[in-house]
Amino acid sequence: MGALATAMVAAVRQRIADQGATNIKTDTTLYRFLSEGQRRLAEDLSDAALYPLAKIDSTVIQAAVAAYDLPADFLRENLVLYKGIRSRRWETVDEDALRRNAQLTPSETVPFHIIWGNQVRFPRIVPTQTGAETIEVWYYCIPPEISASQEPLLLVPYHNTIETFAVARCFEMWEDYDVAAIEQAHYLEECLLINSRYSGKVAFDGVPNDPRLEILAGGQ
Amino acid sequence: MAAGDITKAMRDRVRATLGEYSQQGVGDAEIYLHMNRAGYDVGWRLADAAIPEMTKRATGSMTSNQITLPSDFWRERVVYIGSALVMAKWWPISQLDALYGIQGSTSTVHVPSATEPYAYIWPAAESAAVKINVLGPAATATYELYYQIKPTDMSASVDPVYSTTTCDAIVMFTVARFREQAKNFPESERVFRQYREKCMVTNSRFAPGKRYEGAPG
Repeated sequence: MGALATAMVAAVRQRIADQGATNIKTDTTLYRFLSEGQRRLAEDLSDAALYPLAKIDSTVIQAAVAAYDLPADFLRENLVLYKGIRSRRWETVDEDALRRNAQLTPSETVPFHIIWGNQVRFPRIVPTQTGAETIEVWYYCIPPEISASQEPLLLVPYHNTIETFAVARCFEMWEDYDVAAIEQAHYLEECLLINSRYSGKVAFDGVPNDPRLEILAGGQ
Repeated sequence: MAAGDITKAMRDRVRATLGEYSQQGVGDAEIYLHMNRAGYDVGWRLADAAIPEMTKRATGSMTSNQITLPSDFWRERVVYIGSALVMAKWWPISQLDALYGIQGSTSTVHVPSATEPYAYIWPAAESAAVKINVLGPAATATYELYYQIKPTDMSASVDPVYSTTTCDAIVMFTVARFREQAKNFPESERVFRQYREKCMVTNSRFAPGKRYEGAPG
């Protein structure tokens, strides 16, 4: 347990030439930077790239109870199911529309939900329960802190990017802001690359073709 | 050629470029660490068509309309279903209710079936593993999954899975990382630009929609 996490610390230490821990005395700081980097990726990457963070929280409905706690590691939801039916996300500031507008009348077969106060709530529904019917929140989780005993949730192909983020933070800590900016630019470039694999409807694929001559000449 | 010899030759090219021939300055393990990170970076950076050695096909039968992700799975490309090899359409999670019969949907624009299957990647239930879910075909239909694999880490006894030309890029990336480690950031950036350009040239041979061919004229 923790082999990947300790390898990430070693990689960062190597990149900042601090293998002997003479500048950063303990690994705690590095784990914090790495954890922040993993959390940043959870926000900087497109959803499809984040499938290791995908989770479902299932709760048995209680009769007449319309609000349910979100899971502790909730980052953002992808969809909410009420008794197996997709619920429509609604905004708190527009909640009155559910009362005024006949087109938007919530029911157990046309559910709406609002996320507020760390709960998912189904306004203007008085839930019934005939057995073990559930609500399901399909969500992306906040990845737990990386440590010597907690591996990163994101897969190994993402670790280099997380490490680059941590390296940038180290130089920032040492007030070497120019280098920190370079590393941060690398981080953003790597995010762009990853997202390019998932954005749009056209897959990142290709068939052989003639290269552009200016590229062969060394230009860009 | 023994297993690991290609990796060791790459290691020695890194050493030669750095002028660090002795383990006194740079240890082998340090070189392999950067080389392995490079293996992932090129996997993101290069077009799939440029790295056929990193693509793989897995076959089998689904369980409850689900396909378990292979242990070397990096990212998905295509899923074909059944003996007729019908391609499943990847579908966004947030719009699953656009599919007929899913999550209360009665829309008939998209009706999953054996000849029109849809697929998405998500756990099936709370605490369940992330899997590929295929809607439409029989629960135990056969499948062919085309995907990109994670590279195996290189070491003195394990050769790279990448082709020789991609290994050239890996060496450049590794050199850039050692310049960074030596706090020679301008030189690190210069080498990294070369690495980036090499990847761009490689990708330019595989741009989508055009074939590497010509008509006589």
